[in-house]
Amino acid sequence: MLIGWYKKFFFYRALRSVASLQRTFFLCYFEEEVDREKKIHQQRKKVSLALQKNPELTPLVDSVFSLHQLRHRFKDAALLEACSRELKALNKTSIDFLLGGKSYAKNFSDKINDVESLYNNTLRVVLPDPAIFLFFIQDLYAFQEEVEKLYAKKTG
Amino acid sequence: MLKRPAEKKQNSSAIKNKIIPMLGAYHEYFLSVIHLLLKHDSEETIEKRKIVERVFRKLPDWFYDIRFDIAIHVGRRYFIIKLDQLGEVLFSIHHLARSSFEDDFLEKMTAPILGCANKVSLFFAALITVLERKELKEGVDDFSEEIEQLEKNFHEILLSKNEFLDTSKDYVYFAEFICELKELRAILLKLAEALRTGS
Repeated sequence: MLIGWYKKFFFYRALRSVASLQRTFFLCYFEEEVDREKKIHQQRKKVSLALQKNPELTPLVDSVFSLHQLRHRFKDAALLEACSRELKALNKTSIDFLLGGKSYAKNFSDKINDVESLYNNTLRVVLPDPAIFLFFIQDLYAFQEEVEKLYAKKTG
Repeated sequence: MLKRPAEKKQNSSAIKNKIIPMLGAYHEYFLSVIHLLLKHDSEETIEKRKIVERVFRKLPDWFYDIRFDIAIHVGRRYFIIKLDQLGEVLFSIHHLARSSFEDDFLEKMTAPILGCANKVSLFFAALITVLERKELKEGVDDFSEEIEQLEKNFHEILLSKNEFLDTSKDYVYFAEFICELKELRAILLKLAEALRTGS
């Protein structure tokens, strides 16, 4: 029983470190910070330690990295401002979903739909390379799938 | 501010002991990810990833400190940040490589993917050689032509099937894979440039 408790403890601690990495990445879209790269590096180290005990989280972590390749591709301040509401909502709901599981799934799914509408109605017309946002949406679905898989495994 | 000899020695040995293994681990990991993509075999990738994580955890945080007063440190910091970005690109490629693309689709892509992988491999080896302060036996080829070929093959498949990019998850993933290869190329070129100007 004690082993089970320890496993659960390390699993949720690992999820929290992934959530912190996700939060740090999302902040890149809204705030300029001088030592951002150092913070990302430190978060990555925590995630790396978490992966040591929970290797099953690797696909989820990779989906987070893939998702936030957007920060290197999407740097237009005006366009970022135009979708800041959706990105902020994604930040919050994705972390709620990651830490809270099923009960937050619909919220997160709704926010993905909002981003998809934004892409279909605006971004695919105004972005010089709309594919980068398509990749982002696809990676959001991948992230959702990975979290669902994890919780299904834990509860199943 | 002048650095004390001990600090200087510590810094240069840190470069040798931490950065070269990191590049080596990324190199092996990249090749295993390509193997996963083409052969759907994840065993090697899991092992190589463990090595990447182990080496990554040994990178000291002081690399990232902003010390504008020491020019050489600025260069190293830039190099390390690019190395981190390289890792992010590789993890992203790993994520995409887990997708099970159809065999006949992959068959048409295999030659340019392997062409890219070979050139990337040579690039990594050359960076390591320069960092080890050894002599480069030959120049390193850019792999933009292989990426172009990959893109061309991909567009031909889309055209032949009369499909748009956003009609299939696999197509989006493959387009993202090509985009990641372009970013990998850009980062490797920047690392090479940083070494050239720093030496």
